Amino acid sequence: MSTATEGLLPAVVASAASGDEVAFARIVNAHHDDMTRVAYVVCGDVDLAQDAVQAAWAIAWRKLHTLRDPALLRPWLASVAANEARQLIRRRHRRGVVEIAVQPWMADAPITDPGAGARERNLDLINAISQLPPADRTIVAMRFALGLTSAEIGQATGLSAPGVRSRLARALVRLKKDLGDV
Amino acid sequence: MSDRPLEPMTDYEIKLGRELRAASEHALRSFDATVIARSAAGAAMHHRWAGLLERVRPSRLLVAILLALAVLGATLAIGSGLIDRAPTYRLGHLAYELDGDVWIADADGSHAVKIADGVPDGKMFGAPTWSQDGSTLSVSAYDPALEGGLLGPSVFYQADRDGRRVAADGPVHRPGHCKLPRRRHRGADAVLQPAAKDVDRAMIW
Repeated sequence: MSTATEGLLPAVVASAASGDEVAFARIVNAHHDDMTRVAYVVCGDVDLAQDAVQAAWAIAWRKLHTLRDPALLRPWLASVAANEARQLIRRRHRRGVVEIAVQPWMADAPITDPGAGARERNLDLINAISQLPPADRTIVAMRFALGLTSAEIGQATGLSAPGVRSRLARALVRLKKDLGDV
Repeated sequence: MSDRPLEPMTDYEIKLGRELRAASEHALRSFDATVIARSAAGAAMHHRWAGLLERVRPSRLLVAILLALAVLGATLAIGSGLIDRAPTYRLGHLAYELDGDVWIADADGSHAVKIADGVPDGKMFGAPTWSQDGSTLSVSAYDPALEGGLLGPSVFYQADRDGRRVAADGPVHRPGHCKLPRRRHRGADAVLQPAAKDVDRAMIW
């Protein structure tokens, strides 16, 4: 959990919502990495994730005034980034372009690299998550990559907290199985 | 400093979270928050117009503009009486269509007589064609009172050279999809060529 994230005052959010670019830049500074993580976990592609976050910031600027509770800024931004990532995946599928991403750590890694095991695990994890339904990817990213609570995720995604928990439980079972962690 | 309630995780979930953050680490890039904020604000400035243009597909926009121009052109043309077409000549007489009416005139255009007036009941007449001997004229018409209205099938009328009805004993040609009147090689009268098989009557006028 980022301290910068938690430290943003509601006044900063209100100021940004009313069109203050400097205040908005502070929000960007605090949340950009989180949004990139969420977008990456949802789409599994570094470039797509960057594009998604770029688009998500533009949406956040326009719609920040609709956020009623500044305390929910982080989950709200995460859900915006996740939605953009999902839309980009959909558009890419619609265009019929299928790219097989070669992860940089795999491409550059010599076979005898001592970190190869961890990198393989990373790749397995991202692959396993990509097998989940998009909505589940979003809440897995929000819960585990960002450490948000079920209630926060629920409020940002329109699900109930128990609904989020049951989806998470189901996703975990599947991830464990896919990763051989049973 | 946060007073948000924490939700405990199992050891496996904590491990998964750590791994997920490690796996997404390489997606992170250095960034300039001010530049991102400015570009987000700039994107929002263009959003309204861009969104509108995105919703209207270029092809639809083009079709809409062309249609509007066509309707405007047709309105202006009809309003100024520019549509004067399908002149046909036989044995010293002209017949032509003007704004949905049909006129007969002498060869030099004098003594013009309107023989089919579409305005009173909204009919549109056209394609006048003389019979072989020049004694009768066939005229196609779109009649809004008939099935399909102006977009429906044509009916045909026949008139003599002075614009009188050739026959007045009711319609003998039921409205159908008819081709333009053709002249018979042998014989005196214009002949209607119904394209529809069920046409059994012709409306003679």
